[in-house]
Amino acid sequence: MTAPGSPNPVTVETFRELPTFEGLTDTQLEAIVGLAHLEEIDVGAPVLSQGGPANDMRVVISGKCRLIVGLAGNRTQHLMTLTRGEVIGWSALLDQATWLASATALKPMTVLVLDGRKLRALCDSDHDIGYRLMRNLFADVAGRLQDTRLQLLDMYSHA
Amino acid sequence: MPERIAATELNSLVSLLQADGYRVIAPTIRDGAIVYDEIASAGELPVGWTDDQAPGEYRLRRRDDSAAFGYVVGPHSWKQFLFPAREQLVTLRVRDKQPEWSAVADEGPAYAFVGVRGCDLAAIEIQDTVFTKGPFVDGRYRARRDRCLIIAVNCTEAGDLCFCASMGTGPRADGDYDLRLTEVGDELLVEAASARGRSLMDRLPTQAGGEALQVQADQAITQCGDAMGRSLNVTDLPAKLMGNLEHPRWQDVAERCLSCGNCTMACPTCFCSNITDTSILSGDETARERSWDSCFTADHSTIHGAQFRPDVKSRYQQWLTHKLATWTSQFGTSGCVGCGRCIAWCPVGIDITEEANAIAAGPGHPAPLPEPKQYEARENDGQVPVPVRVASVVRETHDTVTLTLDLPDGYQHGHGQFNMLSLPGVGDVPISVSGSNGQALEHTLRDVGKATGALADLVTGDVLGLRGPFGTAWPIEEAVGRSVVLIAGGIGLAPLRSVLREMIARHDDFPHLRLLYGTRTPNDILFSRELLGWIQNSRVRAHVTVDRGDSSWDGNIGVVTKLIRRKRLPKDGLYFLCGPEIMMHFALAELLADDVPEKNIYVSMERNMKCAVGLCGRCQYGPHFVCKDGPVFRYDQISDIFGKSGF
Ligand SMILES: Cc1cc2nc3c(=O)[nH]c(=O)nc-3n(C[C@H](O)[C@H](O)[C@H](O)COP(=O)(O)OP(=O)(O)OC[C@H]3O[C@@H](n4cnc5c(N)ncnc54)[C@H](O)[C@@H]3O)c2cc1C
Ligand code: SF4
Ligand code: FES
Repeated sequence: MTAPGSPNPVTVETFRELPTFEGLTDTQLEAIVGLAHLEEIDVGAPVLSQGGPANDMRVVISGKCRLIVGLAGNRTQHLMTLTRGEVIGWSALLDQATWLASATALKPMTVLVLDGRKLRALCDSDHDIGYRLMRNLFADVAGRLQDTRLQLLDMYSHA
Repeated sequence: MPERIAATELNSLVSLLQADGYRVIAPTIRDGAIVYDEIASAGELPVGWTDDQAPGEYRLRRRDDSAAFGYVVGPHSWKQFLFPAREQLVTLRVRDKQPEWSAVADEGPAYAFVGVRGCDLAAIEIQDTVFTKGPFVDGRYRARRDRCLIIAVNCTEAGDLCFCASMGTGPRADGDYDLRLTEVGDELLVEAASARGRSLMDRLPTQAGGEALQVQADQAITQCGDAMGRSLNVTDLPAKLMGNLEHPRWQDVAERCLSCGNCTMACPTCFCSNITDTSILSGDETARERSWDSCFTADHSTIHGAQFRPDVKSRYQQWLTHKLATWTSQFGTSGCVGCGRCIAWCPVGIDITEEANAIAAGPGHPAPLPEPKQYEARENDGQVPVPVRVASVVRETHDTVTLTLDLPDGYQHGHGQFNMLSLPGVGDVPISVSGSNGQALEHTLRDVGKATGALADLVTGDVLGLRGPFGTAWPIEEAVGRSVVLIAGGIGLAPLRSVLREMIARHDDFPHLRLLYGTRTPNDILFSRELLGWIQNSRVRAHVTVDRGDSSWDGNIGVVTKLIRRKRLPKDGLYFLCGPEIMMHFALAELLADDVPEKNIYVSMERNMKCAVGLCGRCQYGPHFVCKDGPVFRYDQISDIFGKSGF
């Protein structure tokens, strides 16, 4: 992992083409640049760990990870894989949340890390940014909910 | 020139027909009803009888005259002679372990139908269209039809359930008859409309002066038309019915309907049939038999894993909308001739005119149906399988195998078409072509039931029956030079594999090629070695995802829609979708939300199939037949009904 201020600093360009930030102006993005940094993650390394405090929200810039939920009795359920543009840990936007799943890198990753507390504060103080961001995230969450439904339907079991 | 004949001379007509070698079928009384059966003489006609009819009621009554045709129609229709309730299509003989299928020749008698009413004449013409206007032609039906002679009767008294005037099919019997009679008092007006009819007329003891009788006959026919027992408002009826599929009346009628199928059996135009392999006839012989079926049965709309019309409401809706609406798109006319049989023979007296009038008057916006398609008629019915040898079997997954078959002589197919694969005594099922080359033909099938289970158990050297190819293909030439995205789910990769292979081979024509493939688990991935090749091939961008993975799986986990959302897909590209309907439903939603035009998307549909040639009615999908208009449809052709319950 690399710390803030590493070779690839976050700029407005980092946000381009990421659905989460779609519709935000450059000025609005400038405000978000300050609460974000990039992290590099090696294959096999954790991106986040179930049960840990949900302090940061992450967006995949490159690479791939898988989301796993640990269940009782040492069992695990592999939920999905996430790649460029997808959000990991949107629970960081909720107050005092913990991670509900773990994520592990399957390919070397670069992730954009946003400080959850600061992001919440920014959304509270600038509702235009807050509305845009929440709308984009809502679309993402809705898509995932739908995907989960389809997974539950087990649609290939019959076809 | 019309001529006149005394009603007492009807027997001369019957004798002439018999002398000409016809088996004379006419109305006659049996078990308290007027049925159609062979008669030996005119004395067997229901002379001096009539029928009182009401919803759910039918009763014979003596007339106070001796009219020979003074009644309307009973429980029978002429279809039982032209399209028998049971008939053998194909026999199978196994000699030295080699199966041989052959068509059952039609060696039936030549019928003369006496007393064919306007509605029934129209019904015969409708079935002529169904069975002989292609693409496949039922040779047995056509032979029987060509041999048969029709003596029509104009109606001068309508029954209480008749509404032929609304349907434009009566009371005058216009159409393809040989001889036509109109009963006026104790005389008959005789008109000939064919060489066979004229030859009969020449030999009948007719008298001149037909014109005067004609005036009286015309008057009686007109009065009859004005005094119809029932009427149906046919103005824009198909669109109005299709626009009112949410009308509460459907539920209301469903609560009365017993789903018994009597209406479909009594209907002179209903043509749905089932096809089954019957048990051994003599030693090593089996027969494939066709029998009347009804859209009210569960089997009619069931495929493995889905029942498209699970309740009475959707089955009644299929019956009514097929008869009065989608039939128009399929065959160019309404499927209803206004004979009223379905009203009389419904045990609870449901009245088609009442239901249709009420529903069509609903608030729904009219939904027009597609124009009827024209087909080029072929010279066969596509029912006889040819024996083919299994060259090799590859087990793809725990439940799926690929059968490589020796290519039958002269066999050619389009990518996306399917064959019917048969095993003696087991039946035949539609399976898409998953690949081919000059020598071999591949089918990839999943063992889900009786037929697919037996096919999956075949080994190299076994012989099975194949008929086909059937249906539409992926529009490969339309895709030349454009971005193409194939979206496959589960076994749906099979029909896309053959098109993908072709496109990879013709790289210059298809430079931008993508495959998005979703399946259940890593163990369910089909064609895994070939798939790996595609993933590594720079000519195609192939992505695979599974619904459920474990730690041994490094690939994507998530549904295929996630792949669609993730990849930037071209709006002007062409999309070919094949997989479970629910998967296609969500995939379509993603594409449409991304502004991909409906006409750029093709989907492959699946419905129950028996004949595969447009004759059994099983695979109906609204105005379409999946077997002849599909399975590959351009999405805008079916977007009105895709995913809607009841279709
Ligand atoms: C155009 C088309 C292409 C197909 N291509 C393939 C393919 O490439 N690979 C593959 O594995 N499967 C394919 N199927 C599905 C396959 O035909 C069914 O799985 C098969 O008919 C099931 O028959 P069964 O006797 O094993 O199952 P059962 O459940 O015992 O079925 C009993 C009968 O119901 C009917 N029936 C059941 N399911 C279907 C169905 N899905 N479609 C039509 N009739 C059905 C058949 O008449 C069958 O004999 C295709 C279906 C269609 C319509
Ligand atoms: S689907 Fe149509 S032809 Fe077949 S039984 Fe029903 S109404 Fe009659
Ligand atoms: S009409 Fe028989 S399968 Fe289509």
